Amino acid sequence: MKLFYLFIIVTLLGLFFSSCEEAFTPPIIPGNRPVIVVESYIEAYGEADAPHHPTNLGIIPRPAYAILTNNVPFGSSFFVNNFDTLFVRGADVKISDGTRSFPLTEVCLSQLGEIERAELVESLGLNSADFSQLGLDFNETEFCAYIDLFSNKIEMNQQYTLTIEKDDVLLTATTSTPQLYPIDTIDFRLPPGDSAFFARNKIKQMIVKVTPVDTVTSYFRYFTQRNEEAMIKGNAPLSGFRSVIRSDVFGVGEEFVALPRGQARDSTFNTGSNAFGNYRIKDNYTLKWCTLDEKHYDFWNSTEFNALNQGFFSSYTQPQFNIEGEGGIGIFGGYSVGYYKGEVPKN
Amino acid sequence: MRISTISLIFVLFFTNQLLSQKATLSGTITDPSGETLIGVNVYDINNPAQGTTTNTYGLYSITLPADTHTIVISYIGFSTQELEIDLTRGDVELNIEMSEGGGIELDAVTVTGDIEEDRNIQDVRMGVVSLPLDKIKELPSLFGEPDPLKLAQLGPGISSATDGGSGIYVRGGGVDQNLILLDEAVVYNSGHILGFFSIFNPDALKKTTIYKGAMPANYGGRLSSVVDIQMKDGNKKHFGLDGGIGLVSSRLTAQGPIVKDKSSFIISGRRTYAYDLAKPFLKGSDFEGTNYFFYDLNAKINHQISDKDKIYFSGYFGRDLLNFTSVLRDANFGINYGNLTGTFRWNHKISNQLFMNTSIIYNNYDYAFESRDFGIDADITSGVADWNAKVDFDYSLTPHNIKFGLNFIRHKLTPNVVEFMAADGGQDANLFGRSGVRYGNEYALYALDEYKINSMFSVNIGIRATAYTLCGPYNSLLSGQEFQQGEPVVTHYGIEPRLLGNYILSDESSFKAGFAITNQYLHMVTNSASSLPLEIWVPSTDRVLPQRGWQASMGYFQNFEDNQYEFSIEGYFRSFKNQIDYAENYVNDPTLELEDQFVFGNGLAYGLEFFLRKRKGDLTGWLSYTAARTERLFPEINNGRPYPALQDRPHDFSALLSYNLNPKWNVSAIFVYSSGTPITPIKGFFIVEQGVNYLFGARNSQRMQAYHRLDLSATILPSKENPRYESSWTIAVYNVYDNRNPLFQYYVPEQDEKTGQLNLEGRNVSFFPVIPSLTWNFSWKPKAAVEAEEAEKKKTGI
Repeated sequence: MKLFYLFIIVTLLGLFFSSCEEAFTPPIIPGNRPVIVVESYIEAYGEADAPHHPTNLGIIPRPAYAILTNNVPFGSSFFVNNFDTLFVRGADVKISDGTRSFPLTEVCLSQLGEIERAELVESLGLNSADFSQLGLDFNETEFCAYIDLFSNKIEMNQQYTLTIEKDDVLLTATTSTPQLYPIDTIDFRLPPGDSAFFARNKIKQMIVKVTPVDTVTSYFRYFTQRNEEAMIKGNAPLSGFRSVIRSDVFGVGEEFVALPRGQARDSTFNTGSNAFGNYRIKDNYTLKWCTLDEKHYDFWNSTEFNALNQGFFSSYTQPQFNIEGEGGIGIFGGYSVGYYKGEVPKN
Repeated sequence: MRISTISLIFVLFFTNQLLSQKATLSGTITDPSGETLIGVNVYDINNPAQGTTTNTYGLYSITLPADTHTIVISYIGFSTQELEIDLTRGDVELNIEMSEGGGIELDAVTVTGDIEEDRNIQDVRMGVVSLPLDKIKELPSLFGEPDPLKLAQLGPGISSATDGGSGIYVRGGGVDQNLILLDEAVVYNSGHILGFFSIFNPDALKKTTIYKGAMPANYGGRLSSVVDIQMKDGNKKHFGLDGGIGLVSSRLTAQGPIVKDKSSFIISGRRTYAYDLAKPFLKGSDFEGTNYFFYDLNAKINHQISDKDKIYFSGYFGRDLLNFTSVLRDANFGINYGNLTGTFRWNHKISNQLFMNTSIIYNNYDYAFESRDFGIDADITSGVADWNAKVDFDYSLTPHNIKFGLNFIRHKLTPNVVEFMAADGGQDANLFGRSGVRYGNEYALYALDEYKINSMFSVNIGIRATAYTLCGPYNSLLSGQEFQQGEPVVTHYGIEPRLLGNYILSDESSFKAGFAITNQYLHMVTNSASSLPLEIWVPSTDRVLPQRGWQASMGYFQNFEDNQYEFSIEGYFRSFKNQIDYAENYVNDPTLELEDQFVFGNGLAYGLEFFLRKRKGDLTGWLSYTAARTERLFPEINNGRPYPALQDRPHDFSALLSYNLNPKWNVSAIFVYSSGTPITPIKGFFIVEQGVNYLFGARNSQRMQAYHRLDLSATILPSKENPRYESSWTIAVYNVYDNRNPLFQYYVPEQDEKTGQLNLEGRNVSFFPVIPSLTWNFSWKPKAAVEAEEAEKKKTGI
């Protein structure tokens, strides 16, 4: 009887848990040419004396910038060692608010000294974990971007236009910097569940309250940083573990909403590791809280859903871009940003 | 009141026209256990074309000149009977019990056109498949679980939705466009374990008929096909047990008389135990907090109140339960879904020619996903519940067989209720949610006449008038109007003519054609390659229009070698309007209105089906091949260009062979080949925020690899030492040559460490490699039953 049980169990486990995976190479889609991928952001911080302005918290404000790369068609060879070949060089890039216009200047890390390089890396929010996910050595990798070297001020409640010209390709995009709805309260609590366990391990969960001002839907995105770790986009459970949140989830602003700590791409969800998404007492935290417009929200919402949503239970989702013009995709995104820093309290 | 008057006029008109100097033979036909038989042929030996068949309740009625007739009763698997009937003194009521096996075989020379064997030639209906449920346990099946819907997939024009799945695509229709009826109750979700097994336990089933062509007017509510499944009534003569023990589940059926020859019951259950057995071995693993099982329960009782009245109660209850609970943190999820059906039927014989059935039916399908993580409880529920009342009349006026009736359904749909609650801190307060229960009333009125014009030509002409009213509460996003509880929002109408014709070219060949218009007021939307359980059902509203379709089909039917072989070729063309899908940029966002996330379009399907079957001898089986295309055209998908539908299978071939080596051994084989499932390919990737993101090509513009599989089985019946027990062992191997048929695909960036080359690699994921199985089937009956059977054998000389 024991052998019979063993036979059944081995068979079933083998079948149910060892579903077979085999690599395949689908045929290349004809006429599938590379396009320019635009990733460009502007950030508005309000007045310099605003409590959440980065300079008041010792954070370097991020200048307007654009990263231009080529996408990689399926089936074409792309060598990580030649990562720099992905970058689109020599383009004319400028940003305009309708009355004034300023250019973005092409800068590559290899052109910079160590200090400038470190500053640029920090200001663009680059982190080594993301690079290693791509199989790249962060310190050896070339990286090029078009940057507003004069750090022109980006205003809240303003519309901006990006223009990119490269050879015969002309791309444009428009974004806005909606009013920042600041966070009312940041608090920490023991994560729900085995409170004795969490208390013993000094683990806390960040919760926040936000009161959207009017009945029009607002859109948020958030990033977190713990101690000296990189600033990483969040994964809000109420948004399907995406980094963007609609204001509807805050209801009338009376409820606390959990904002789990962003996880590096190489971290794995481990049910035994209860710091996943949480903090430990006395951790230093930085929360970057942004409002964005609907098209910018749609881009992240669709792109992140696309990345999470593959397999038997899903279908494909085309990312929604706001770049206009033949031969280009991507995002020109405006943020209105507030920063919050502090230490995770004991109580 | 008005409907009753119309019915009466209708009846009287035909009665006066056709009843002069004629008399009617009527009654019920049963098998030796008292189980009523559906579709038994009853005809005058001198005029076979003017015959009839028993209806769903085993009743027949044939009106003939007031004379003496030799009546033939024939049904597959039973002895054909020849009865002398004297109708000169008026109507005759005769209940007939058929005997199983060879018995009194009529001379094929004198009985011209054995209607049972050449039913495919004589029957006006086309595109009809009756599944050989008696054979199903001998055939190879996944994990040794016999499954009627998977057997259906082996027929022409019917294909599988996924590898190992029980969902069916019929002639280009979607899974949701099949009307699946279990004792008249609609089954909205016919699958267990994500659709890998159907909910239908063959031990409890009497007959399964699939209408894939122009469906008769007494069926409606779906665009594509009807799968009409009738449960057994239960043995009226003696108590008995049947069952089976398999690798994944076991089943047991008990049936017997409550009052002998008057009332009976049947109860049949099935439950899986795979995870229960595996539990001790999961301790300490990541799966420790996991449990999964499903179960089915079918039950039915019936009672003959009088010669004219009979009542039935039947029901089905089945659920799938999957739970995962983290042993370390407060995180869990669970899926719980299932069907509940209940049917009450009252048969009333108004006269020898007019039969009425009244049914009150309740069916409920509900699906719940519950999870807790990060202090948030997320509950997603979805489902459909219907109250269904219908009255159907059968009126036999040979050569007319008239059916008419009416139907009312009250739908309650819960397309997708989402609730997010703070489990802690917020003190279980609602954070936000999306509800949106929808109510609707569906009405139908139909009439049809199956008319044998002469010995060569017969027609089935029908019409079905339908209406659907969406009722409040409802907030119209189109008009901005708010509708209160019960207030009508919008009413949609449909007129559905149905026409079938059969022209008999010779004793062994015929030509048939059919046309049908169908409407469907409910829609299923899914964002998944799997058929279940992520789909949601939504009603037609002021924005979501009813699905409308038509189908034209024709076919040539030919039998050979004294009906030993059957061949057919059928062609069809069908059109689908107001199809529904998610937009290409769909993101599951519970804060949005559901209807905002849909896009609408049309479709078409056409194909040719070839079928060759051997029906007699030690070797039986069939070959079927379908060449077909199914396309969709949505303005907002694929830039408005047509694209292959998910169910598009240009080539679909099936072979089923069963060979009786000797009275003890049977071997069977199934081979399936079909074109790969269409997929939307990845065009490439792009990098944003140092992360890889995918770009997709045109929808369904590529295919997974072609699907093919060979299954084998052998069944042995051990020597019968005790006539009260019967048992058989079926050894089967699913996917004998271990072909890895992909269930789905996904993509990952892969880097070659030596060269540094980064490629986006596709991965095929298949679930079902070569799978051996062993099933033991058994039946038991009491001594009295054996003695009664022996007595019957002596009496009939079999």
